[in-house]
Amino acid sequence: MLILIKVISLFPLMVFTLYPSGSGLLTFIMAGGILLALAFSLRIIPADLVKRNLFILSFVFIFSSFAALSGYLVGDVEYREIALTSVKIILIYNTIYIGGYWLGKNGFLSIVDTLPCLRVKLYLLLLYNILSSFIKRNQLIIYQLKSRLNLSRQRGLVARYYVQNLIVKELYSIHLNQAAIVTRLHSDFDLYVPSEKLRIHDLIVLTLIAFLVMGNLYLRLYGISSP
Amino acid sequence: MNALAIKGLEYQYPDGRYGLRGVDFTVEEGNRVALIGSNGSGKTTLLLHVIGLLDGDGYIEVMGIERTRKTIREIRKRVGFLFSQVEYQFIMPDLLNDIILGFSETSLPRELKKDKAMQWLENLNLSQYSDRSPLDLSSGEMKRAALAAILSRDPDILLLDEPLNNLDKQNSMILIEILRSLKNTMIFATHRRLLVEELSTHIALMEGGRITGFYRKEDGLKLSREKDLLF
Repeated sequence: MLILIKVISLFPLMVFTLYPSGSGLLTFIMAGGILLALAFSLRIIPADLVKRNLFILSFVFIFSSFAALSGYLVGDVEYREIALTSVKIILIYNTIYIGGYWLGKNGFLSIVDTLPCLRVKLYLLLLYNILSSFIKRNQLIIYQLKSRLNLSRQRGLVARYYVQNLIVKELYSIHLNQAAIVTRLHSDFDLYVPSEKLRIHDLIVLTLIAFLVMGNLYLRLYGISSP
Repeated sequence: MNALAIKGLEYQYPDGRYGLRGVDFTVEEGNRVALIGSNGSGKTTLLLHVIGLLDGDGYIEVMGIERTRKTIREIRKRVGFLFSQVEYQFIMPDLLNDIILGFSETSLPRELKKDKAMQWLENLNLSQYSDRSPLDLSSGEMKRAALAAILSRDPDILLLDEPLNNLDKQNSMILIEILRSLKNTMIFATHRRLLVEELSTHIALMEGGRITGFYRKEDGLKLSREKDLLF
């Protein structure tokens, strides 16, 4: 039940981040605060959080640069829109990342268990397995390439063979995973998800999200919309 | 009763090479047969045919059921297959749910399925890892976890492809002890003398895609050719 509440609460957080009432400033500050509080309560290491955000920050930088450049070329740079979209992208990405951390493996299993279609369930489970084993295999490929190539002279080959290796290994693992399903799975299945206890940080985060939702709804009901 | 009967089984790989060249092979119920042979002799290819992952020409009968497209599902329910690369064998994100998968066809309540799965994990000394990802386990633990997952389905026949791969002597002995305590019919492809000596009742020799010898263990181990294939 708690997991379901967590899942449901993340949706309005994302929806109101994308479509905030009013100027959106308060919603963004509050959403950012909620996510930081959540990361802190989940004991996510700040360095990890920064590392995970580097990718999306570089994406946002490229996106906003191109948006500004194309605006400049047509003589109308919408700085405000560009900034708002950038903030939205960062917040949504972090809601998915930190929210996923909050739901955890049990949250993922609960979601999979509620799905009615066996194929979709299996697809999600395989995706989870592939992603969780990806980093391990990725490191092995790098070791393998380093051990076989002269990096001082063949640096360019690393990238080329890395991609080839990665694709071949992933296809091979998918082939074996498929064999495992064929031999081990003969009907639909149940998942066992241990029940979770409501902790104080869950309560605080849920309350903050409720405030964010109510605030946004209040602004909408009284006819104040984004300019 | 024969647990497995194969007659004239042939298989050609997509590139035209022959994997199996007319295999005739019979295993009686309760026997534990070591399938030995050099690399590329067709051991794994033969095991893959029994479980229906490959489909060559010939006759295969498992626990009295002829293998056809219609019966392959029934046969798969009665056969447990341990991959040589067990890390790919797990479907679920945690060990407990992977074992519970074995009870998917029973109508037991979830709590009871969980208790039965925990029992299997305790039997194989893995209960402390129930909520862990199988991929985080050591090679020995992973092998036992994969075995627990297939045993929970209560198969009649166990097919084991290089079951001692990546295992040290201590973990090999633990796995052998577990396998020895089981009553299931077993066919295992191996190069390991320890496994043949400690577990098998019979030895089948494969060469060039054919079964070229079938002996009682004591007789098989005396032959020089068989000795050369094991280490």
